[in-house]
Amino acid sequence: MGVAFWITFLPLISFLLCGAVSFFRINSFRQRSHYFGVTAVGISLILSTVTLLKIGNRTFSETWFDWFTSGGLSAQFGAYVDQLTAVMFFVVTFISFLVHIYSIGYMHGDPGYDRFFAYLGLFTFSMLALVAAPNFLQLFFGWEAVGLSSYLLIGFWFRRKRAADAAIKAFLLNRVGDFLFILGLIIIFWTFGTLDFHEVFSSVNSASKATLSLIGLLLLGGAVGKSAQVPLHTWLADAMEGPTPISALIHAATMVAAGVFMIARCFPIYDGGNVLPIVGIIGTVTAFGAATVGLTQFDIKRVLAYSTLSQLGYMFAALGVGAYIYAMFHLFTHAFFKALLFLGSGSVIHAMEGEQDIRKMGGLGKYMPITTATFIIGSLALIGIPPLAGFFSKDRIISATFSNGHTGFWFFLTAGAFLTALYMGRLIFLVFFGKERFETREMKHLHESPTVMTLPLIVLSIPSVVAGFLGEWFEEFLKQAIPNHVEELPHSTELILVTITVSLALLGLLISAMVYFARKIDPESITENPVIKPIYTLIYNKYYFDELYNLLFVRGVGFGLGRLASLLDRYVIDGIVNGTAQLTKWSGEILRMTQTGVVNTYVAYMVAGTAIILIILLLF
Amino acid sequence: MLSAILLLPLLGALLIAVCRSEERARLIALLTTGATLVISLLVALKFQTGKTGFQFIDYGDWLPSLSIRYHVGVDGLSLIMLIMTTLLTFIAVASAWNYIEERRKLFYALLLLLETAMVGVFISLDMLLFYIFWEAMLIPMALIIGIWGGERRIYSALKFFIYTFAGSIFLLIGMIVLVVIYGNLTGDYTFDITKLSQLKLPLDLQKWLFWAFFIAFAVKVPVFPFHTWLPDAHVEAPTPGSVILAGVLLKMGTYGFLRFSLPLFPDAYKAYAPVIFALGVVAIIYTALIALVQEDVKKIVAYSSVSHMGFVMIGLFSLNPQGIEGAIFQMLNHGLVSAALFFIVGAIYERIHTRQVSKMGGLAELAPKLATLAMVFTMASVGLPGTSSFVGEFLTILGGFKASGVTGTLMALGVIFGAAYMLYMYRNVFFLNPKVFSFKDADTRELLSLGLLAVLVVWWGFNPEFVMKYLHSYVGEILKVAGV
Repeated sequence: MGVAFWITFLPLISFLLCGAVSFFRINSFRQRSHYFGVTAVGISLILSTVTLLKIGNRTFSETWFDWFTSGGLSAQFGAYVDQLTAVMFFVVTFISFLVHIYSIGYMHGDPGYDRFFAYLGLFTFSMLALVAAPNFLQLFFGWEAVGLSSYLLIGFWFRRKRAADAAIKAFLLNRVGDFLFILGLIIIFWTFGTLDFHEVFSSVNSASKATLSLIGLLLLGGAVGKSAQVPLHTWLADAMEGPTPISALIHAATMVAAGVFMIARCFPIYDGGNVLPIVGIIGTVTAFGAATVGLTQFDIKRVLAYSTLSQLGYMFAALGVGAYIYAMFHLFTHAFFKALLFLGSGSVIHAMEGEQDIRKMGGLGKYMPITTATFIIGSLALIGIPPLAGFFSKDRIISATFSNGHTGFWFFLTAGAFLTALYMGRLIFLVFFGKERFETREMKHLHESPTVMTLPLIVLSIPSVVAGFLGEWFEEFLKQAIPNHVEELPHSTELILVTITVSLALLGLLISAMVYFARKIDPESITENPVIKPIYTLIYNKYYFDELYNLLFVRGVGFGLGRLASLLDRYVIDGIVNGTAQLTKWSGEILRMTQTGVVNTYVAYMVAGTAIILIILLLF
Repeated sequence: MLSAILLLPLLGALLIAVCRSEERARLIALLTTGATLVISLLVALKFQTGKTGFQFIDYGDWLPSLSIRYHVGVDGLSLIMLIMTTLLTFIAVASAWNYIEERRKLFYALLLLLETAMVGVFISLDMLLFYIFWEAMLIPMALIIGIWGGERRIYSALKFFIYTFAGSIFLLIGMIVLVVIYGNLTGDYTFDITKLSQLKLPLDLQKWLFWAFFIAFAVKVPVFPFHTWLPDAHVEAPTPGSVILAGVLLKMGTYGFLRFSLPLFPDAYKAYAPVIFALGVVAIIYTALIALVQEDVKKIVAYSSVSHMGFVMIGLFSLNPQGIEGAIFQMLNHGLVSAALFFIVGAIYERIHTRQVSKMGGLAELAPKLATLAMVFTMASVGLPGTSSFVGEFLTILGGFKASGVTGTLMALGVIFGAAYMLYMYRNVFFLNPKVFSFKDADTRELLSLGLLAVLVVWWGFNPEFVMKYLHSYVGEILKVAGV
């Protein structure tokens, strides 16, 4: 078993150990479950780092064990490690390791502490199996298994109805995507006769453009579900019901990026088909739309969730113009600063005794300096202020849309950058600066989080600052695995584009400072403005997607059709069955009347019968 | 060896009959079913996977004047069904342990008789022998529902008995017609399945006989719209009854399609595949929708069975290796998962005496072990990769899609609904705030039984080849026979 095996399976061992501790209530380890998780993922991280540094221009494959064979189909578990997988290994284990450390503090004293670390191990294993996959079937295994871990972790505090419902919603919306995804797999198999990446990708030329487009579209369905893009995006905001470290790991840095990874991995299919413009449109719509929603939310985690949607939209837009590497680069930098932001928000929520409403915060800066400083670093990176990480990765995407001639995408992504600055500025000023709006009860507990929680914040703020400078290296490195179809732009044009985005970002920050820090403008006066109010209401209600889906699918298909089918089954189908039985019984009863047991009647039958026979004989 | 498997439960039943103690009956039943399971595993161990045709054949004249013979043997298909039967009967005894409190002797004796009949169905190579076991199985099952069932047990037991019995009449008629035709052609009047399979009938005749056999098997599976006896029977049946009913009985129908309909009437089988696809797809989606709005946990699991059997039916009629292997694997998998789910429902009913979801909730807090095991089986029912269900479901969809794109697409759509009702049920039973205050977590007996099934579900989820290696040569052969 090679290095990729251990990278992937060590977290599984942690899952099994923590799971056993939790299942059998082994008390001496219940509050120490993190030993297993931290050790296992720690070693995975070291191995991943070594792999990333050593892989150079090589690739390697491992076959772990056979899964199943049937007819011409044979599926194996194993790994195909190229530069793309190596990067993903590192990102996943790095963030997972820090989230493990952070959770020691955040989940301290929770009765489900051991269960939490078990699920973390399960998730990390599943995600690594996904990125290691050498074939579509293992990819799908990881794809569904991360969905399971996500479901379990969103519903971690299962007594809360909102958490339990959010878990189901996440699972079902992902299932809608997976329905398309699995059809994609099936068509791949019947087209190419294999599900192995190498064999499929090396023979894409043998398939027609229409087939490739269909496959691409179906796989995209899966990606849209997993990466929470419009129109399957509604689960991600609700997923914030899960513990905050989970939001950082699963719902910001790694799992939701799986869709981006998958499309990059399947680039030969997308390059061969006609689907990329649709990927781009979905991405751009999500990037811009989610940013507008982020501006109106009051829950600190929901603001970040919409920000995640929006940033994933940027990655999809990059994929859509063929800039696979830029999409991956944004995935890479985003993982650091968004994990940082979520863990920072967790630190705030921890200090605020579970309060998540930013209207009830304010002035936290002086109570929790490390959280504040790192949160601001993360925010600036997200906003794209040079020279922080997000600037380099987002700017590359925005220029690529322009240089490849998609000015529509470019316009909305640039506008999105402005909105990003606006909502992040609003968040920072409302949470960390200004008047203290919380009550005395929360006041007493206000303190900086323990070191196990602040340390990961500090560690994450380093790549959030410097990861951008890795851009050139990253591009050269990944070029060995995936292409990057981007037209060169003249330097002057590029400079103008950068100036526009950066000035818009700064302008956004400035406006948010005016409104929420200097209080020169009352935000209510904007939202109450008769022209803006209907638009604001629409956005505040997230464009009524939830209401629409609820009406159509939960009430309509689920309960409406379900009730109808149930009635049909009971009264019509079973009615016919029981009717037939009843009819048999009745006919029996009628016939029974002939069997009276009275001799006189039988004599009468006999005479009548003889008479009828005689008449018939005489007549014919 | 096969005859030993057939006789052992019969002996056990006799032993229970002469045993005085009501208490000891369950021990005898446990030991008997355990021994039967061990012997059937030995058969599997010695089975030569590479070979086609029947192995472990036992043979003897019975009624030579009517050319009816005692003739048993197993091929890959029979073997898997045999193991599933002996395993699930063993589990059924474990599930009955505390659930059945009255007239234990009678109960366990009937259960063992039922085992003999079920085993007989799967290993008979003589058509009349098959028919005898097929019908014999109805009696103990109907009695189990009728004596130990719930409030409307008499109605359900009667409905189950009459419905399946009425269906079987057609099978009997079809069989006799077949034997007579074969006899007239060859001069050899025989019920031997291996001989009859070589008959090449004209398409018209195939069609008639296909439908005669179809009704008998379709009621048993059950294929939509012959399924309404199933929810009634399940709701009223005691837990071990449900375990056997869902786990083993339903597979007799699908087994029948493979053992008889496909080799005997291959042309009709192919010609009517579209009809089956339509019925299968309706079953998958329509019953899943019904399951979504049920209040009774047992009804949800019962309807889910109809839905899952839809995948099996389509797989069987897809006539490609993936579809058929997937269908057989799904039969086994559904046996494990539905048995486990009924076991869990029964365990909950023993404790709080209700099956209404609205009266449950929060059991994950009160009974974390039971909740963990239930999660494994919920995810298995949902078809998550890593559980045995995924393999069956994926292969049947793959095969179904090859045969008909629309069918495959609708099957995949059904997977969404399957997730919906299972997850809502899990939420209502195990998540949310507890509505009951005391609830004992799973005890050792329950942990061992459910643990065993959970291990199998996950093990065969990652290593399905352990089972499927028995199927490859059988499926290759049957497709050749069918001329595909």
